[in-house]
Amino acid sequence: MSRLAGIRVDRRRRWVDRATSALVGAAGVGVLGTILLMLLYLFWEVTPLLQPAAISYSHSEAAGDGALLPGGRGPDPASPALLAGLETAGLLARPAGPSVRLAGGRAVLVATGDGELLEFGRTSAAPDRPWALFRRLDSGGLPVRWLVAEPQRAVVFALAADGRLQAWHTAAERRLFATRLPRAAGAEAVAVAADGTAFAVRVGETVHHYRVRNPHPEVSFTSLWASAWHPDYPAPARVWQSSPAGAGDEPKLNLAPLALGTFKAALYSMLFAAPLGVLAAVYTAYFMARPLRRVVKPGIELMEAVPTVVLGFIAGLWLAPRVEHALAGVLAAPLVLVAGVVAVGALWSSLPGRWRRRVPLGYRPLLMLPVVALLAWASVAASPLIETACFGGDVSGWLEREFGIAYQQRNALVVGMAMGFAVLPTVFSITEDAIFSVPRGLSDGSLALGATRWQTLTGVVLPTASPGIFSALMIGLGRAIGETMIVLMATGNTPILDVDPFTGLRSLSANIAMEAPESIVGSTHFRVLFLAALLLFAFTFVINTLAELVRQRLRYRYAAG
Amino acid sequence: MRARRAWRLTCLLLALVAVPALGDRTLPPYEPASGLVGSLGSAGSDTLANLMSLWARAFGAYHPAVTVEVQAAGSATAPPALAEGTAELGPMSRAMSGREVDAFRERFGYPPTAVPVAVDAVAVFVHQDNPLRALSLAELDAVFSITRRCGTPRRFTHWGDLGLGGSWRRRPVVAYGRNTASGTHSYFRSEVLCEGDFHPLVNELPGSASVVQAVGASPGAIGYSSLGYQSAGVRPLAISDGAGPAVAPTAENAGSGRYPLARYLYTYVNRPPGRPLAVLEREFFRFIYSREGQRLVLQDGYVPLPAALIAEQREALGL
Repeated sequence: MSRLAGIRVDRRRRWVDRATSALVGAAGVGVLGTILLMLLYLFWEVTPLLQPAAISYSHSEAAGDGALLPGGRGPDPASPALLAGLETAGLLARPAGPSVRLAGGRAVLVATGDGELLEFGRTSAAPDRPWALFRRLDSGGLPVRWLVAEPQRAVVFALAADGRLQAWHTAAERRLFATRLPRAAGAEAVAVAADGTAFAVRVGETVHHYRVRNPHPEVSFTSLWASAWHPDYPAPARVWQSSPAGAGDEPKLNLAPLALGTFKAALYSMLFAAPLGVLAAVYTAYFMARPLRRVVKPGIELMEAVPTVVLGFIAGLWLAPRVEHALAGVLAAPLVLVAGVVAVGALWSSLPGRWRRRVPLGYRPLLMLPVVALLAWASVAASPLIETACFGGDVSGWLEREFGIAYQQRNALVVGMAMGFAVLPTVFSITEDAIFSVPRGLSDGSLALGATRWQTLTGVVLPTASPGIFSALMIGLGRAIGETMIVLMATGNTPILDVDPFTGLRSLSANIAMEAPESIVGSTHFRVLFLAALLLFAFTFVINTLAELVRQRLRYRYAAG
Repeated sequence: MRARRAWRLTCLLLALVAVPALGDRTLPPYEPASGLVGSLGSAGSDTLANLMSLWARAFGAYHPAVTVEVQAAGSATAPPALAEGTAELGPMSRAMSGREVDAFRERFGYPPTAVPVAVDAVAVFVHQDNPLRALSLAELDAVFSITRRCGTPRRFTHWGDLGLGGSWRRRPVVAYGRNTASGTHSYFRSEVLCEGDFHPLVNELPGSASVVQAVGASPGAIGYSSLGYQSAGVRPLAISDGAGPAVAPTAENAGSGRYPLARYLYTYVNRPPGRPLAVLEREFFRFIYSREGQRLVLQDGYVPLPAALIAEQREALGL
């Protein structure tokens, strides 16, 4: 009887075990599957960008009296005065072939006799500013007879007398296709549809129509990453301007400023979080008294509970104006703090031993708290003095004179502080765990052999904990790269291309958050935003993979035991 | 504090002057239809966010069984929301662009219907300590744009370039504006920048209120936003269009069209041609075009529509 009950219990237990493991397995596979599906979806939305353009014959009809394509655009050559002006300026040396006006007349594409396509554009709207050679496209010696351009996009069709056709996107410097167009030899007129989906030529009394499939001509490696010259811009630049305003203007979708902005924000926040987080963790895990540690550790981990949108809000509206106001003091604070803390430490050790013994070793940081607060307050309060003494009374003016940096109130320094605050608990918590879990026997052994506590820390504990510390830093970096709300709220979202601490930035994630709701589904802008998301995914993936590789290596080298 | 009180006083005075002048009396009061049930969704302009919520709340008070949900991330979010059917009302602080209309038409075969609901002035704000009083549109272009299509020969980077002396002469101009989803952004771009590009150093913030707050927190700042968002700490500049004298952005000047940056605020709806509006939308517009609805416009710092336009619109919408 009792045996039977035992078997029944065993059987039930076995079923529970099976169900639990199935559930756990399903959850794991589900998570992996979801990530994979997300990745697949991102790819799915991005791949149409890579689709090659194509043209195919549609039908022919007898020529009528009207335009070849209703609402389409035929040849629209540059004015002879403009071409003459370009020749006088020495920009156009060779005999000019056909030409076409681009971007509402702010640029012009000229075919030269030897098969090059030269794009000229104006460098400013001011009347006296000269035109410049924007780019040269190599058609491979195509003797161009006709040049037509789409009205909205910078897509140009170059047709030779023998029917050879090339289509280019000028700003992307991308050749969309090169083909021999059937029945188009000896064309007497050409036109392209306003939306770029149809092309037509007239040969004799017949009009031949062609279908063009070309949804995303403006995306190429050049347009996404390299600098390009745009009409009315004073110089070539990497520009993110996703919503064009004027007729003939195209979205400028260069990802370089956004990718750099992402790294810039992550870099400055790690400059703030890495030293503070790691050093605090070393102290908490190794020197601090246990009762104190039981309060401090959860306290710092609680910082993670602050919503990032609140942090961003505080950083943008409260911190940024104050940092601008007391910039000299904020810049001096790290120096003042380090020097002051060392000085107070030296003072402490010169005190008589019986005074010092009153406070146990693990509790001494409590004494340091008022010192740190006082020093921080003093350096901020002394800001006007420092400003007068070192920077001629005006830090931002000094920065502009010495380094040519125009101080922006919403800058990388402020973002670094706010995001550093968000990343710090992660770095601290993982580092602390790594150091605290170094086997007691190792450090005890080292101490027993006569090493000091400091020697034990640097020679035994830190190397053993190094894999953990490294992964703490990497996880912190990964979090900083993906962080959205702080960057969105605390910066001015300026898509600029520099790494100065006193200028703003725009990150990939903040850009997606701002522009995704407005982008037209299926447009190039929409797909480039998905590409940005994929890029973020790739950044995090690469960082985490590298972190794991290095961590394995370190763990192998400093294996405990 | 004093500035705020002065502003309130101005508002009050303006309201007293403007209400009869703008034909509030001639508008019929709202007579609620009975037995309405359902929900209305609104997605779009951040400029119209406050006004939309005011209308939604007042409308909800008349019709307890109707819920109105208001989302406001920027005008450019309205066309996708209307096209995807996630919202019935698409408030926008600018007219839809050709591309947006095309995208809508591709889906439904007809264009969306634009319904003007209020008049607004885009104001250019500076910090309250800034001594500058007025600017021309061309000077604004030289501050905010990289392309300078309005023809100013060089970019203005310091307050000295704008005619200020003393300690202001060497202080850099820090420009604030809205993000690209905003209708105020594209309106400013087409009216002030002559359809050019913004300079990459212009800070783009995701809300009208944040622009005003940022300007109020930084002495060297200049920023544009709807006049309705004015708060303590900032002062709106008078704007001249180059030919005439500078005009202050007041409700009166916006209503009369003398202020160069005055514009209609719209609400777009999906209405098949030849068919009446859906019951709830119809009732909502009846409310907006009533005395009570336009009074809320004034309360939120905007300018009510001219009575003639309202009569015309009521006719067109079949209210």
